[in-house]
Amino acid sequence: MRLVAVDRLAQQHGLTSRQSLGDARALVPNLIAREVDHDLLTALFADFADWHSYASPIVAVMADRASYGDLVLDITGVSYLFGGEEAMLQRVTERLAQLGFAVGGAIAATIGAAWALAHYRPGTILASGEAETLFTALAELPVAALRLDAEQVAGLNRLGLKRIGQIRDRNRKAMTARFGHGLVERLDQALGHIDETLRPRLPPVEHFAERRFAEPVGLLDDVLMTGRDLAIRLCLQLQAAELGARAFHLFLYRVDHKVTVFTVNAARATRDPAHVARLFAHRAERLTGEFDPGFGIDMIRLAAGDLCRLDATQIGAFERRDGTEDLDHLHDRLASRLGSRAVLRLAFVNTHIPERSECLLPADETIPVDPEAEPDPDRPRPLRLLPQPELVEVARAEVPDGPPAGMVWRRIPYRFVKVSSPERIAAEWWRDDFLLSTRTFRQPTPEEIAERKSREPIEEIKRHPIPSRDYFIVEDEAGHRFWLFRQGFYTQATMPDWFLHGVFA
Amino acid sequence: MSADNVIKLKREITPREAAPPLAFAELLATSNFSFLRAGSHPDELVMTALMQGMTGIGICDRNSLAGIVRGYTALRDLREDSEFSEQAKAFRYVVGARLVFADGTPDIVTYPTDRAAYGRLCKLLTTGNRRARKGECILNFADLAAFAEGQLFILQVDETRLQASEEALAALRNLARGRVWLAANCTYDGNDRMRLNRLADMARRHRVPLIATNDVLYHEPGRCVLQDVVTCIREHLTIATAGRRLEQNAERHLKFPMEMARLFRDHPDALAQTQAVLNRINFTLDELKYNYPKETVGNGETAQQTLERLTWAGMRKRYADRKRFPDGIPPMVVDGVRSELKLIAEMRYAPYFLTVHDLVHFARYKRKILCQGRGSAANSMVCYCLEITEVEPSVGNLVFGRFLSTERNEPPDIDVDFEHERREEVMQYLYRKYTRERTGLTATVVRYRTRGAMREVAKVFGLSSDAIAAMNGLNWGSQDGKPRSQRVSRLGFDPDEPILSKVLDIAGELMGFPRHLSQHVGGFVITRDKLDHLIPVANAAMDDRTVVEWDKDDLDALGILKVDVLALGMLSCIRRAFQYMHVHYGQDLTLDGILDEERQDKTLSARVYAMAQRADTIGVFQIESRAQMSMLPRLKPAEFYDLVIEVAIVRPGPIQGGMVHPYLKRRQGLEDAEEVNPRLRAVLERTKGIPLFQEQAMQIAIVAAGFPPGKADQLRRAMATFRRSGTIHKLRSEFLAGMKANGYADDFAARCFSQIEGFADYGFPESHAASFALLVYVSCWLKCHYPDVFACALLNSQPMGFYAPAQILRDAEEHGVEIRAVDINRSDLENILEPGRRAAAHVLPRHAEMAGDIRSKMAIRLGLSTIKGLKEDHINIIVARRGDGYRSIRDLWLRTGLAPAVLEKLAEADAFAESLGLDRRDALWAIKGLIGTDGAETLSLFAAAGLPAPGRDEKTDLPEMAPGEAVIEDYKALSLSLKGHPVQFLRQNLVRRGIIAAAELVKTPAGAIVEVAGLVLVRQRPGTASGIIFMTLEDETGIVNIVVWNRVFDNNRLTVLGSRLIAVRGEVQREGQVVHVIARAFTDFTPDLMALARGEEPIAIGENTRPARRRRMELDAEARAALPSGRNFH
Repeated sequence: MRLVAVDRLAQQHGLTSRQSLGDARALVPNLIAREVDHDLLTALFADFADWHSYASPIVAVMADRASYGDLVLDITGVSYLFGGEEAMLQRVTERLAQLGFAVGGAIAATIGAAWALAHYRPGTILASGEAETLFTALAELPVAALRLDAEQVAGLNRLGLKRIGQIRDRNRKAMTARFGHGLVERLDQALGHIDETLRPRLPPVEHFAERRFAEPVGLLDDVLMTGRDLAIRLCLQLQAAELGARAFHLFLYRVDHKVTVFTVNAARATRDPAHVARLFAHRAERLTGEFDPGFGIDMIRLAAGDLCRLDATQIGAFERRDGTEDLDHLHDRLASRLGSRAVLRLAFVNTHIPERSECLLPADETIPVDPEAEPDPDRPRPLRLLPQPELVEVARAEVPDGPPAGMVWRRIPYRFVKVSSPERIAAEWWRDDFLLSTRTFRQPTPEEIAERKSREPIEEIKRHPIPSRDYFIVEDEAGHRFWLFRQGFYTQATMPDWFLHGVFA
Repeated sequence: MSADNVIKLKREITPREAAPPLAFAELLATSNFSFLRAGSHPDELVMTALMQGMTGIGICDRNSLAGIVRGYTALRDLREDSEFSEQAKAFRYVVGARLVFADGTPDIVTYPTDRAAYGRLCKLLTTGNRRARKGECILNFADLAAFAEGQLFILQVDETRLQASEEALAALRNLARGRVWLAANCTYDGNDRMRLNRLADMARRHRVPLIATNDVLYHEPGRCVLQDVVTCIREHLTIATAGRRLEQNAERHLKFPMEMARLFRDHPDALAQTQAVLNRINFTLDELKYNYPKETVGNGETAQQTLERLTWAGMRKRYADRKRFPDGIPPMVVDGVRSELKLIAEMRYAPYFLTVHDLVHFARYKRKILCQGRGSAANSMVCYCLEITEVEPSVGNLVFGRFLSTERNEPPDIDVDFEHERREEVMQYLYRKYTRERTGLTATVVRYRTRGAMREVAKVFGLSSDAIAAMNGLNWGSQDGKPRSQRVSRLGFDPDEPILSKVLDIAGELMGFPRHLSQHVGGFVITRDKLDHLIPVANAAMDDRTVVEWDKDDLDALGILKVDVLALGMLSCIRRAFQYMHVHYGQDLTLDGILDEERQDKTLSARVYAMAQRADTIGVFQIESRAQMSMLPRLKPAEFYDLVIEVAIVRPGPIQGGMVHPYLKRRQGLEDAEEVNPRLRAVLERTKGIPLFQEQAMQIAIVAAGFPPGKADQLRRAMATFRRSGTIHKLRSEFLAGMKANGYADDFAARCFSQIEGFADYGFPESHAASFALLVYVSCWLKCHYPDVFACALLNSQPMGFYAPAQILRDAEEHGVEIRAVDINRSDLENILEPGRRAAAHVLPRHAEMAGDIRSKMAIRLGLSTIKGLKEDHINIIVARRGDGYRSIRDLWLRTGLAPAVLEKLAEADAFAESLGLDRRDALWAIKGLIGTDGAETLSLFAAAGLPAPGRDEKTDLPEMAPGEAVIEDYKALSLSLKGHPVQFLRQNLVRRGIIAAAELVKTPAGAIVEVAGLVLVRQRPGTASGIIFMTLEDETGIVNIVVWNRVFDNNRLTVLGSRLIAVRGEVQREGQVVHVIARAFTDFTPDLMALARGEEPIAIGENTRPARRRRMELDAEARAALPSGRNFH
């Protein structure tokens, strides 16, 4: 693994990109390294590009050197909106800088020159588009500033050709023969001898629908109504593409170059316009000052996200309705109305410990299901588990691991006539609170934490090997079946307690 | 319920409690040799079963017998141990395997009843192994038919597939009537009673007995922690998500017979059946002993007779020289040989010696391969007479007896080193002679060590890969042992944090667990019987190689013959040197001949020793490291035995035991040897009362601590095989008590013990050191008289040793040898010798006293293989088609047909300068233009037409390279430069800063504070030097040795580890001729070097603007790409 990017602090510690992670760690043991998520970065820059659509109608992400990292704005005829080129450059870079990015920017007549300057002389504004002016500005820059391949750069450097100024006047044919057509082309592009076209990013969102208004709108109802229309159009698109979406974003472009986004999520991929519109309506009920149309909204766009394949479904004759779809819709609606964390549902957990074998999860979240988490049919579990195991008094029990002959639970005595063999369940020793607890779960006191720290975990486990419970299924004279367990073992020093954990039907 | 109801306590039974006569043996015990499926070592299982009062134990691993010898040796040691010997002698240890089938048959455990049945089991497993990829074994139920005779079977029902299990039981019973049992165990899953009844019913229906077991995975309940962790490792799970894939409870440990009786109270016969099985097994591993091959015996003689004949004949040859031995063979030698032969006869080891003798003779006389034996048994007159070793044992005190002690029935151990490039020939010979059926490679058990254990356990606990890497980074320099908690906390981790502390603890316990079997580099097993009837054999990673399941300790324990056929780079180097001597100087040298000169001409040999005393030993075998070089001027070796000591003393064993300084003091006469009793004095006399060799340490245990030899060896093994068992502490206190009882001082005793500890892994036996010392002398001799030949041979035998080619060349140059650059028309694949100048006339003043000894008159021409990234095939084409030389680059291209990318590599190495007059950039320009400038000129057309190639290449107007840059480019392409040293281009700036050169350092008084700068050649952190780092820097005038204390290192970690070119400020320290600088502060000069080499102004260190930083980074990255990073040694 190698470093691909380092921040200023890392540079000061002598780290460089391309260094191997192992070496870097030897140098800076407490280095914080994150793996590059190229997809995330690409997506992030796509978002930036969209965001910059407030500044210029034509925004592109340049993918020459990496699929992210270089934003190109065609500012022909827009800079006056920002009070001139200088002010515009400053405003654009500052906003990114405020977000915590390291930004360099430049303005020039050609894409190539602007790129070179942004990377090697950030802040430069080159008003003139004259080839000579451009060349003078670029001559001293390293050849890498021409957006060349690493290989081309290395080849040029090896021949001692390190600055752009050194290569312009060489024999073009000889250079092309040695470094390929790309070199001369890049040079010509930077100097404006040949044109380079931008591929604007918008419309990059594959599936969206939008409406522009001649007169800006400002009322929430108008927005929602437009949203419903757009939902119908968008869903038709999705249907044609056999896709469904799990997220829907409503972009509100204000006349003052601000974008507000509302997002709703669905538990499963959908393209039901009524459902989508309903989700936005519910979402609108929760608005608290987020909706601010300012001077009005002149464009609304509805985009689908989190796309996945959704084949056409047959409705009617052979439809199988098991209710899951309705349940999901209910979850979506409740969650969009009450908030995502307010609606929960039960899921199985893969564990031996009975009271931990289920957990609550947000209802609109799809979770990867552990196929082995389903309960094991060979290990019968009571239909009703008591919220808290209840201490019972037992009559004689065979030592060391026999069942009791009877018990007193909630002051009523029971006499058992049938019992099973013990089922022994050991505590999950790796958990911090690994001692199987039968009391209410409480935060350990600082003293207890200190005490726990002073123990060697392995030693402790060895001293009294994993605490465990022995469970018995017992049946009394009246045919009631109980799930009973003994916590721990009979030893000379301790008399274990017995608990009732559940009742069978 | 009242307390008096508590009758029996399940977990608190003490072994001392009078056990009722309950006979139970656990027959389904899985050890951790069923890799990642069980939580205990075989010896732990055996020991615990014994303590619990079982009558025996059977270890059965999954389709493998890899762990059985461990259990066997554990029991053997217990039998020798007085405390438990009674119990242990009655205890039965039976070996078997759990057969796991590929066709869905439930697991069947099998125990062979006699030797023949054991052979069949091995054969079965071999068949399964050979079918599968390395590390797997594929068995089908059908395979059992041919092998069932003499086996006892225990079938384990697969609960999920009852029907299939029942069918398998029926089939098995038909196959082996009366020899089948049905296993039953209590799992505490809530259905035990029901299941036992069901199994009993099934057993009744098929008329097979039920047998009680606990299907054991670990020896004591606490190990279930480790069991859960290894399960997660195996299944790639994290402990938090593993859930029900882990065992529900911790019940699969060895249980006391009484507890088993209670669990099976409704089925008492099941318990008794364990005894029935034990009683029917007659096989023990003892029956495998002494399975020596017979081939070496010809003409009707017994092996012993052949050995004696060869030995006497060899002796007459060895002592034939009338000048040295005017009175014939010394009587002492005859006596020695006689008593050795007697011992060999007694122990029946003759075939072993004959096998090694045969091997050595084949290599030496049939193939002319240099080889030499070493190892414990090599220290014998017999080996010397048989020409297995070259060092006459009389130089030392023979301790042959210890290794062939009649008490320890372990075979002698001889390793033979061969030239590393030709070892394969010897291996092929072995295969041919003993056939593949009887020859195999020994295994090595790859075990979890600190890093691996940490990584796996941390993964199981879900720690991020960053955290894992960081934690493993802690152990820079230490291989074993728990990471120290202070280091952990320095990383920003809290070592007391529960998860982390569990990870550290469990990793500590996992350490030493076998992970998988691998093959030993050169260990051969040779047997009389077919190998696959003795040990299961498996496919090795390499085609055509097979590897057995046991490692060398296992084979030792059973007395099975093994020969280590090892590779030694220095032998290849010496062989080459001898060849060059023959070709260029017309001299025919042999190892023996050079050694003879040492013995006979003291004035000549004094010159060689003089060189060693000056520590002028770069490239010399063994004594070239920093530590060795600083020892030489102090030890001042003046005779052969001094070299033996020199080799042995700078080893972790003696260093750890604190033996070095006392020895030096005594040698310099500053201190007298302490008074010890005569027996111990005899042991330690040659080493001035200080134990330096492995066998001395063992002899102290015997002589001074009163250990019987067997126990002394047990001590050695206890320390060699991972320090986990408690036995080591017991042995330690016995050792100390023993020495005290014999009247030795406590601190002397403690010192001896700590040295034995060090020896366990890193000590040299004397014979070993002596064999190495021979190569030390020979390589010294070559370097002393023919530095050209020596350097050339050494370079062509790379990689080996401590130094990079650049340093070896530089050293040769300092001794007057001319080095010539790589050239397209003059270089071969390897470095070659060309007629040159008389080296003695060009020796640097520093080595002036050598001038009289240097006889070199050749120059070294660097070979094309020096060029990084150039393939050997391509070089061969270049050399083969060269004819009378290439006239231009185009000519080269057309004649060789090599791709321009390949030619570029030549250009980058500046290989066109000398004969074509093209510098790097000119050549590159020409190569880049080969395709495309004159498009019509295609390769095949011209090659076919045989047209004369175009003439010279044009010069270009490309910017010329600064001299410094050219040097750096040389480093990039060749890792060295003949044009200069990178540091010289910085010198002006360095001088301005007050930095002095290495050459000036020699004149600096001790205690002065100086600053030096150079390329970092080596960083070394020896495990023994309590964290000190040694750095070696090189500038254009020489080498500087830096010592970095731990604290200073921690504060300057970045600079020390990251710099290619570094300046160090510190205090001068002198020890004889060796000068160190004790570092205090560091400056990284790496980027400046690059700037200056280009003739640019370096960026001021204080300057911290953005472009400056950026530029600095660029330069730094470039310099890093070019310059060697320095070798890091641990």
